[in-house]
Amino acid sequence: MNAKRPSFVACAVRALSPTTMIAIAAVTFLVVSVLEQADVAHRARDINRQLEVVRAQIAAETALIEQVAAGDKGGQLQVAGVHVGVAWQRDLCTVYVTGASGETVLASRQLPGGAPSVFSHARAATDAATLAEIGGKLCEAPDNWPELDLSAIASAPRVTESLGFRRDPEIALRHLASGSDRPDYVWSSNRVDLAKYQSGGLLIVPGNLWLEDREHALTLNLAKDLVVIIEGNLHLLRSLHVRGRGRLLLATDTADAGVVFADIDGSGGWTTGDRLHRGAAFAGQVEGSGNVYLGLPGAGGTLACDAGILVGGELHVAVRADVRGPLLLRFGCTFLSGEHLEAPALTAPLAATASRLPGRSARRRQWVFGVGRDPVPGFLVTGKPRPSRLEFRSR
Amino acid sequence: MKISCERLLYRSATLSALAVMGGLATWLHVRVGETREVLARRQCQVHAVHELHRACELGLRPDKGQLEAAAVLFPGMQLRCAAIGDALYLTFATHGSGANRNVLSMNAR
Repeated sequence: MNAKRPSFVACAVRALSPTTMIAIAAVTFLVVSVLEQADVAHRARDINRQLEVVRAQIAAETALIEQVAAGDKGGQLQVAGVHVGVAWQRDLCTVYVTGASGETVLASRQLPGGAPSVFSHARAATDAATLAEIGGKLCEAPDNWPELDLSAIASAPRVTESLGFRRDPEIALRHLASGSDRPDYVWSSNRVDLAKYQSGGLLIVPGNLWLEDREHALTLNLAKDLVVIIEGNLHLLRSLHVRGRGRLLLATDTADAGVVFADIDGSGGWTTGDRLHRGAAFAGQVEGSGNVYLGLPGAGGTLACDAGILVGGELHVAVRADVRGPLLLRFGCTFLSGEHLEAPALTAPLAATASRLPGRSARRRQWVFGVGRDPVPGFLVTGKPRPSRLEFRSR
Repeated sequence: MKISCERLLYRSATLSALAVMGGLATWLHVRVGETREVLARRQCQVHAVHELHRACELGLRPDKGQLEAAAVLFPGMQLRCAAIGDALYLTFATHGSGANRNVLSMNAR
């Protein structure tokens, strides 16, 4: 007798007996639990590694402080159960921390002192009225304003074409009726890669600096902090974007001539009606020194600036601008309109948000310098020599 | 339907194995849940120490309670905030007593 062969569906239904289903569920549950266990083990390893890194940082700082206290330069230490090796090369200290999960290498520089305290604020000025205009909190006395380190500036590199700068004798005449007396430099490329640039963090512009009006923003790749000191005026006519971990500070210098004025009509040079900040009568270069212009009168549009700006002279705001780094004003702030004689000044055109790299300061949620341990090259320091912030070399 | 003794034995063994497997899986699941909670707490503590270290780097002095809370991660150790001028450093205490007495030993070259 030929028995009829059962269909595939019938076989499947027969196979899914309660016992089989329980077996499948139990095996699945077990496999999931084992996978969860593996995931937890992986996470535990990850957390332990993070803990090792924090322990290495604290052990390295302990060793650095002990070295400073004892006046030692190098050695082997045992700190909190980890082995710490310290090696100095000039002002660079390399710390090797060997823990349970391998070696972590950190580096710290010996700083000659602390940076001026004004750099620890996102917005600062020397008078209350200016401070109110930018919404800042620190009203710094003029005597405490950061002073330039002239010897550092004298030995610092000057701008070059390889960094995207070029000298342009005509740019001032194109934009300003009175032109300029100092040499004018333009930061001209659309993309400038400073990722591998080694300058000690300081660069000097021996004249006025222009970021000329263009459709596209100037984008910089910056791996390390860079201070650009401008021995003249800064004309920011296009947006400036900074990519990478580096922070850019643009600082205008008034040390040479000391002629500082508020350019009330926005002409870019001294004219009758402008307000002198320093000196009894105007003298020197027609464009003065240390002034910063955000846009030109009548230009319109908006600007975004990822750099911090230390204004040695007067800040002039002609377009809506968002400064996403610290904004520090030695003198006042003048708001310019398109038709300065008739039209009212722009209302609230300036936002100083210091919002770039907010993660740098977990509590303040703003980009500021940690002046105790962050170097700000080009400025005189105060206090004792100390180790800088630790940097990871490998972990 | 008559089930043979051998088949009955086989079935009960299978059910017992399944019960053990289920129990093991449940136990594992509970343990994993507990471990996850412990890890989450530890992750928070590590993050807190990391933030404390960054705050010190930026010149924000932590209070005693924060230092004590952070020291939980390093049994037998104490943390302190050392200062050089306005620069702050989060360090292990090197001049304590008891467990901290031998925190640091130095052999300068």
